[in-house]
Amino acid sequence: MIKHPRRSDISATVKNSAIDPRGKGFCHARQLAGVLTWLILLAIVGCDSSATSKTTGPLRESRPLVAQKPVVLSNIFDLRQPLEIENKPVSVESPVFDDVAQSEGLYHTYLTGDKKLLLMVQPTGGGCGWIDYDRDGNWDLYLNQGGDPSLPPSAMQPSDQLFRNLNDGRFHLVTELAGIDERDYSQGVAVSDFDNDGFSDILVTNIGICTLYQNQGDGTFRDVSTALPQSPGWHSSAAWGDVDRDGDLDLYVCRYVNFDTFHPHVCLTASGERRMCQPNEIDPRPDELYLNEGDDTFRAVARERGVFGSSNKALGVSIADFDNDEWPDIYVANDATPNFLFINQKDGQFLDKASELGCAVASDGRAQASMGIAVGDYDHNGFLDLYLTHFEGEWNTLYRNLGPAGFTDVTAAAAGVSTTLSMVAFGTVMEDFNCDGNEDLVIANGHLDDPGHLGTQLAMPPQLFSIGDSQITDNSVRGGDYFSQRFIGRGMATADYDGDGDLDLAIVHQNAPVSLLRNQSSRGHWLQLQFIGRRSNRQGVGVRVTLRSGSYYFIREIAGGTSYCASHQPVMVFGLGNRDQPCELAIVWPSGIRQSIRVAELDRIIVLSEPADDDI
Amino acid sequence: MTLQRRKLEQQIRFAIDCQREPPRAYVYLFLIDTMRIAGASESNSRWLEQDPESELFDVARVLHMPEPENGVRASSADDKYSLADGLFNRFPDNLELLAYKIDVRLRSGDVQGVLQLLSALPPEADDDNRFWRAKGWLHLNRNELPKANEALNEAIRLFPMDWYARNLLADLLRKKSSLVEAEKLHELVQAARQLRIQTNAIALDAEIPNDILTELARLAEQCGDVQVASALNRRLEILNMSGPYRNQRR
Repeated sequence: MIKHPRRSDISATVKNSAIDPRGKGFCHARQLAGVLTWLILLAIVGCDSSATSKTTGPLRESRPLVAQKPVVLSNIFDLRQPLEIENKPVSVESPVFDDVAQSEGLYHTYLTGDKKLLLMVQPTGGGCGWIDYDRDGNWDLYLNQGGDPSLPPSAMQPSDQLFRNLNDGRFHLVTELAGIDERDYSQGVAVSDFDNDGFSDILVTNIGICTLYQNQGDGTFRDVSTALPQSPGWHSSAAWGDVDRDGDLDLYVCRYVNFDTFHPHVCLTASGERRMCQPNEIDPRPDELYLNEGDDTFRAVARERGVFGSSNKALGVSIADFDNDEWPDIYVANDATPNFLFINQKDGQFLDKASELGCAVASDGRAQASMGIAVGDYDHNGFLDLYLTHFEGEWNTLYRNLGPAGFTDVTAAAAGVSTTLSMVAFGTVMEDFNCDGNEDLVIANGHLDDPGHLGTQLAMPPQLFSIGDSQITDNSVRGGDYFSQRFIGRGMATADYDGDGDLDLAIVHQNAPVSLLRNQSSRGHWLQLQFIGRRSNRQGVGVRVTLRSGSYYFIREIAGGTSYCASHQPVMVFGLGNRDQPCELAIVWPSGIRQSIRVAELDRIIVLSEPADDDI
Repeated sequence: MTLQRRKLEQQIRFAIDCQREPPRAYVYLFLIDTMRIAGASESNSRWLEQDPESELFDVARVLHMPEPENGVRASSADDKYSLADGLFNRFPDNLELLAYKIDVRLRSGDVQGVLQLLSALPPEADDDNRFWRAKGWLHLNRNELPKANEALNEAIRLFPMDWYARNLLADLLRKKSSLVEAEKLHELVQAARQLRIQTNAIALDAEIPNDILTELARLAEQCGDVQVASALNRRLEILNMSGPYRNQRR
């Protein structure tokens, strides 16, 4: 395994090189592999049926798996068809994390307020967002704060916090210095450079009015919330993305339900005692899509652009290109109602195609209580898959994206159902933390209400899964001490805060200190990409990269939103396992500009600038 | 009450043919795969006291017990799952127990568990849509699409209002890129799911509202259950009339 380097900032070596289709040698190897697979499957199925069958009626027969005919890749930029799947795990080692929050000076606890209030907003909050607000190359952390939800924001309420990363193993509290004074009952964060000035801005989702902080470029922020035409209410997750591809970032805000904390809807038990309300007892509050007008103002357009649906109770959102047409789509995680997938019609309009494409409800036809979203191409077929976190009694759902055929819930086939049924899950990310070529999943769990009467606990252990060979493996016991503890986990966001090339994690817990999980994994070869947009938005949100290393393909996209109430560093880390040969990158910028790069040297950070024109 | 599924369906369809079916019969038919009656576990316990060796009462007693809260299994030895496991050791060919055990494994995504149970089915299971549906689910999860298609269609042939089999069929159609057909099935499944919530909420002694019966008729029609659809439409026509003529027609 490779020794971890510290911070590096290496410019890419750019060569105009076409990327060849596969040669004959590969085909022969594949045929041989196919025969072997067939023989193994015959053996497995033979064992199953001979061991257990009683009779030979039509229900009892058992046949080997039918191999799918792969689609041959002719061009790395041809994104419309699924890529041929060749990958096998090169390592089954688990990622390993150390919680270093305290040793690095990151002291913060999200406070939910008096539990006796039993207000519905109390169990949901607690987000975080990574931001390099001072552009020193070190990723700083913005953390939400709750307080007393029954009182309006005032100096008596605790403020959100901004911690500056000093790059010497310490974080330093700079909230006041940076001009942050955010005392609403906060839920989440969405960071991005909406004005394309090179300095990241912050949107804070609140119970009330969302706060938009514009980075002044001098280490301070200015409250420009009036730029958003908004009304007070419940705001959960939010996502930035250039949905109209005009070069600046637009904003999608989830607004969950109509619940007024100052005049709360009262819900009672059968015996007349007050209890926390359930989402099905409260009216939905439709989400909003704000188009960036390019002059530091936004226009609310959800209705006119078709970005709406019935029973919209959204807690999570992701903006990414799910159908590979190079236009960003919007996936919305609704609580106990069908999820939305707003497909971009490329004319400013969107159509919800979640039910048609098979990602609205789980395989049992039931609308799940969706909270967090992770996005990644776990099966390496060139299309972004989805992982949704859910309430207790519902499994977290892995939707495999089949490309033109839509999505299919493969959780059962991937052995991922039983491990999550007992959890109430929120924040989640899908990344290759140990760079072995397989995606990992980290999940923040924790109940909403005190479930003592059910024999379960409010605090729940976080989970760490690895997806290899289309199977989900629970690596929680191997992931470090953090995963053996119990928390009420909520927001979770990734960044390479220590600059060593791999991704670390910030995880917010309710009424317990935030965790900073430093990635200590033994890892395979890797490549980290950072982006500077020119015609595209400055941070490259929406950039899609296809990496080829020999016969190995992987795609990544800087997706907007994802996780829950959280915001990641806009960076890509490709895990290459033991593949040490030079690789080729095909980059599609949100502007449509294409770029092709050959990378001879691995295990480094590359900063990519958008070229003025196609560069392939 | 005693989970004699096949007899229940036969009696309802016979009553429909004789035009002597109560409106509630349609609800029972629609919910036949999932219906659990409040108090039925206690009733079967009492009957079991009179006939302690009765497989029928013992199985119904356990299967009518409420599911663990939120589907999360308790560790207690006398929870429903453990009791059903114990009974299954005594009555391994009991179709209701088999269907329940398969359903539990199916809900927890246990592909291997479903495979094992399906491999050990008695021949009588061949006429039961639930097992064909489970077989379809299994093949679907193993990406054996032609086999899945065959099994799911057999489930629907055996019980046309099997909307859950249609839900799986929608997934299969998506995998075959038949998105429009999948969307149609998805809409039917969602309507059926909504109807199930509504019908489950009807009290045992309450009259079945006409709008529920209308929805049931529509669903039966969409599912191709001609017998149920035409009989229900006929009955609705009578119910929607008023005055003496209504009594006369009845």
